[in-house]
Amino acid sequence: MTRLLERPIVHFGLAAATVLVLPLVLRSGTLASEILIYGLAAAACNLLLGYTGLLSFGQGIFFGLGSYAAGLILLRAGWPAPAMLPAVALVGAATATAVGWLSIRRQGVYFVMLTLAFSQLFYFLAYTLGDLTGGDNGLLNVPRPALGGKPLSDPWAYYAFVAALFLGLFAALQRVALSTFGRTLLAIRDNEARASAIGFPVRTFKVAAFAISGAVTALAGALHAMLIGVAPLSNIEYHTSETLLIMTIIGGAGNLFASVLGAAFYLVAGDLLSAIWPRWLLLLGVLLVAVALFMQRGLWGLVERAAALVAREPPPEPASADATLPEESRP
Amino acid sequence: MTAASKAVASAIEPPVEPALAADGLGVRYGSFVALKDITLRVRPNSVHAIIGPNGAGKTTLFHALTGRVRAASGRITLGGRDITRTRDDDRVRLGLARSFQVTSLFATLSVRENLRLAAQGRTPWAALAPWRAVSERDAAFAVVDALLARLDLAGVAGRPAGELSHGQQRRLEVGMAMAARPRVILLDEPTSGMGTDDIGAMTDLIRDLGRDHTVLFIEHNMGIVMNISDTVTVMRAGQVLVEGRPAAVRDDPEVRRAYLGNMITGDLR
Amino acid sequence: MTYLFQILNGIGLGMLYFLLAVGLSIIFGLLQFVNFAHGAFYMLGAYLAYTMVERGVSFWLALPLAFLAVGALAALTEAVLLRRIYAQAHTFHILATVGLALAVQEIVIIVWGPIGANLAPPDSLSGVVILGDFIYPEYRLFVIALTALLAGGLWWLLEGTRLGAIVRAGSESPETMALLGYDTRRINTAVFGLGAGLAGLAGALAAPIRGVDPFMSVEALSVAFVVVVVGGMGSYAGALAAGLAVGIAQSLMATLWPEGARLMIYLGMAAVIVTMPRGLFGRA
Repeated sequence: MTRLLERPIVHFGLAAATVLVLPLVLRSGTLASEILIYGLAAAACNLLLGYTGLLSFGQGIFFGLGSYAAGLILLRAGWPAPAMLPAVALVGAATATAVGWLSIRRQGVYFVMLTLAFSQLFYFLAYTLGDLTGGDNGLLNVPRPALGGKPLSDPWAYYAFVAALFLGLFAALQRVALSTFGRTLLAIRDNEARASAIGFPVRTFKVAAFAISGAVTALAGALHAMLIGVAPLSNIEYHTSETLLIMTIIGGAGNLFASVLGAAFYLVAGDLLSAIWPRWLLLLGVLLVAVALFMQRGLWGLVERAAALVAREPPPEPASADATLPEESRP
Repeated sequence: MTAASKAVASAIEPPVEPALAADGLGVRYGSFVALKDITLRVRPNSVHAIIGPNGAGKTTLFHALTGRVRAASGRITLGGRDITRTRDDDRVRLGLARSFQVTSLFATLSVRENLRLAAQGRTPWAALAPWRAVSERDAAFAVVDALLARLDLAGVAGRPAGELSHGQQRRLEVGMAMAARPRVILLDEPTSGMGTDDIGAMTDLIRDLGRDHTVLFIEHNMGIVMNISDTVTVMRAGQVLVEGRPAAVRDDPEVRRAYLGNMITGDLR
Repeated sequence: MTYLFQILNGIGLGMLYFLLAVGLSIIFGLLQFVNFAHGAFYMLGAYLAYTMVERGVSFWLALPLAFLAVGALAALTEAVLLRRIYAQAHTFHILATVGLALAVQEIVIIVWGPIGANLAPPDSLSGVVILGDFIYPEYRLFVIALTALLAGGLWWLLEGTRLGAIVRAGSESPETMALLGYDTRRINTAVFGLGAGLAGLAGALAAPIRGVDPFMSVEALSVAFVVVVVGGMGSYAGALAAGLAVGIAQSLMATLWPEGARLMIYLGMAAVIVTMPRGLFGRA
């Protein structure tokens, strides 16, 4: 049972099941779409945190930039969505390459501080370039993609569009995580000095991980702008970076589906609680402290424990519970 | 070939191009001079030991030779090629690999994956392909499986490296250096912390490595040094004190006075 | 004259940034702990000063009280909560203090409301100094003078006293400190309180200049990060030089290109990182 939970195909199955279950349990197609969009961005954040050991406080840069790029390409250049999406991915990858290259010049906490400072840089950049970004108001009237000449104005129709992209990109991220590249990232996460000593150009690998993460995050940002019809300034704010990171850590850094779980938990809890009490973030703050103290493997750790209980097996040791190792390299 | 007969042979033959050489090598940490004017010649397919008291700069010398720290002065050549300014990961590609004094593995990854990565390190740019899965038919696995057998780690191939016993981790540590199929292999205290049984196996392994590799190793166990080395370099305070055949080093009065005293007890076979 | 005015402004601002960053820096130096709640302590200091003055407490009393209250609260948090996670990875230090900062922000909104407020400088400093045709607010001169005194006092505390020696020894090697028989836990708590208290004091001093609002913490945190990244973590001189550089640059830009003043801080930081990855005074 617990062994089953380590298999990538099971994670993809869970992602697909999420796509199918959300319309059954949620009334709002917008919330359902948001879960997939943020789940994707959190999974991209996890490629850096869980797979490369890089805690990036700058994921909002790529998310916000993706929103703006989508809006500008659709509105100013008039490109259709299918042409816009690859361009947005390219913008995200290019920006992430630059931010990553600069940030990894410092290690550890300095790296984290740098990513946060860069997120402020891009926020003020967006704020300053009000002619392009709409400043405080955001970039308004971002259109949804059209299917057969009709825009996907129905929330659930747009959800289907998001879901298709979500599954495709989730599978792509899984492929990356399982590739020779992804397995080298795990080595860098475990022991950077040794990875370098056995011949890997560590910085190049880290920057490449940033580029991939940035591309996927920017795509998520583009999907978000089309969902709400605006590319808002808040998408490039500190809080977006913070939210994506919180989703990733709450979900658990061990595998990509955990991030989707973290995003779903955050958004559904936020949706329920904010209706009752607008200051629900206070509870979130307390929860984060509790996670740091008692639940370091996140929600996914709980899933594993529950599965172990059901199967009456001892729960997996943190060191051996690496979900990304392929079958042949396990005992 | 015993150490002594090899030394005789090399005295007759004309001088060969050293596999690894340092000329006037110096390293500084801030204002502290860690290495000063080190000149070293490591002959191909020889076993060359570095000994010296703690703080003599032995590990720093390894760091400099492998490119982890930058040389402040002097020149390093690998098979005649100047690598003084070459990055550490690029030196692996040129055939230089090392193990660490303090075990440094990928703790959550399996033993087999540790070795596969080390083998892949020879062609790291091929690993930069985010779409390419690792194939079981990959040539690296042939090297890995041979190493697992040679290091007696086949039984634990699937276990995370962090869960191995100390002796197993030390063997894997050396195996990581071997996996890149280097011409020159640097071992930093390969027997540190090992029990007697493990030490014997490690000694055999190093002697064995000397047949098809060039081995440079740091060691505190004088028995091993005297038994398997072709050449011994004694370091003290960041400089080379004496270099020569084990017997000569053992009998050198300056070495005895300065550092070794009566510590040399290894039997010369 | 405008430039002189802006440079003076920048020095005042920069000294506040220094106070903020040096607190972050000594906490990290001793505890290897990145405090993402540092901005929240700055905000609390500002709000406490604001409330005390609103309730009729003298500003002169409010300043030390803000320092002590924030320091005590931080020390309590450290003793009850944060010391339990020192042993864990940085990720969880960051997660816990991000959670703490979030909770503080929401509590501030609950207590004081989501809209900011302004705080007038004390009456005795509400005037201006006139030198020829140069006019400058007294309060800002006071901030420069006081922070300069504090900087001197801090330097003495860190370089000239036993506590300072212990803190420096502790940053080098916590084991040695424990071996020498110092109660590491109490020193940790005291230093955490001191660092956070300095942030609170910086907030209280900044309140009459920039007002108070529930989102000032994020801005303060990221500026402190910039100062520390540019100056080099753990370096007193670096924090001072970088704090002043950031403050002066921001002030000068405020006249040259008002919308871009903040942006320039971060672009400047990026430029430093490209040219000097370790920062101005960085150690390896």
